[in-house]
Amino acid sequence: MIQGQTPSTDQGLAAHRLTCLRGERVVFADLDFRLSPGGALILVGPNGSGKSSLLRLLSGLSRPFSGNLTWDGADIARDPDAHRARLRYAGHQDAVKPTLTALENLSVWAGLDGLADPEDRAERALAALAMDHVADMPGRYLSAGQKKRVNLARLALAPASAAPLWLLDEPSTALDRDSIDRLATLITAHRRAGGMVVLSTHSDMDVADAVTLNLADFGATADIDDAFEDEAVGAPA
Amino acid sequence: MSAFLRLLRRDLRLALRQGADAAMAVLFFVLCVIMFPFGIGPEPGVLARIAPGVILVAALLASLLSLDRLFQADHEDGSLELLSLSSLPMEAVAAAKVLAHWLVTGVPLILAAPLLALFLNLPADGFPILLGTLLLVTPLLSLIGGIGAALTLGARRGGVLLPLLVLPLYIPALIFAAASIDSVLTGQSARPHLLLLSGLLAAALPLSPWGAAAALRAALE
Repeated sequence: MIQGQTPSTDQGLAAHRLTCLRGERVVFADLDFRLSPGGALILVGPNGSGKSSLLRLLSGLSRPFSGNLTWDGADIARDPDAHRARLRYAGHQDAVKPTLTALENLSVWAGLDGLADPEDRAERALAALAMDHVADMPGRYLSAGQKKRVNLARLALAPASAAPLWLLDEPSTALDRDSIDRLATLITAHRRAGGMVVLSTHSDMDVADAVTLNLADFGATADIDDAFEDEAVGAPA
Repeated sequence: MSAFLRLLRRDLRLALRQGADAAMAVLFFVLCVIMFPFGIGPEPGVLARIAPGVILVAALLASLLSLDRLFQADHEDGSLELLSLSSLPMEAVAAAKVLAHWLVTGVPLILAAPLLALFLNLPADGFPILLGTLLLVTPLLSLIGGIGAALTLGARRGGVLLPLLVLPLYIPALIFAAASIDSVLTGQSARPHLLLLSGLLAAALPLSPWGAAAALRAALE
């Protein structure tokens, strides 16, 4: 069991004996961790070790083969709507529409998250990632790094109390040094306000007091028959 | 403004900015119908006889043309993942996108239909029923097509699979639509056919978003 910042409470996100399959191959098995408010978890490991798969599991986009995830002690599979509302997920794809401007792209997401004044919020969020000068530029003229920043600006739309869990899949890819620093500032402010961050990275991002989870340690130890057996008897908590 | 209307407005705005996509369905519809007089010959009686069927089949194919992009663009750029994580239920996402598809392709088809009916020498008393029938059929095409588009999402060669999946499902709509126009032209009541069409539409309205949402969730796993 790997502990986050403030151990021995039920608060926050916890994984219990999480096993993930892709095809018929075990990506990782028997993964346990706990992330408490204000905590940060950094996922490292070689390509294919399951960093993206774990982030998708945590977001509820896919389901674990066995094991479960809890939030404040309650299984997230029981109330997927509540779990969706409390997280922000930024994957490899930036979801930036080429014909909408950066500001329009972002305010669509603000509106879909049910936030009031989506345009104002989107403007402020773009400013947080120093993107206000390209706010009116259509998505097709944005560079890869700028698209990434538009996607990451979604994180700055709502306060940490509204969406405490950030799931970031290699957020530093394609970003310049200044943008990585701005992202780090956002993450620090988010954690100070009680938010949590899980992010995967290949390059080293500076995240203070973060727990590092090397997924390579959880792969290839179990073969598929063990995993099936666990499922059959019901994985013990 | 609710999240549903926001998504609808976004899809309409995307369609208008990529105007070519919307215009393509109407142009295809017009060209497809115009081919028939060339192929069959300019005999007014024959053209008037086949006019309802030709217009309906062409409308059906034109609506199919833009269907494969319904969810695909959002799937490819990751928007669909974010939509599935948004406050909007997947059923509402599917419903908004199908409604946008109807507004962008279905409504222009209805507007272009009278002109094409004129080309094909459809008798004057057939015009109101043609428009009325298209008003019921085109949303049905978008709704049924929405399920097909969601099911073929992420499939290899989904563009070819989609017509194979959806066209057979269009047959009941086509039968009742053509029958309702024909019955007016032969002096009978179109009421039973229109009621059956309305029944199909009433069934598809809740079932299509529900089915499409299930398929979309499977595609995202």
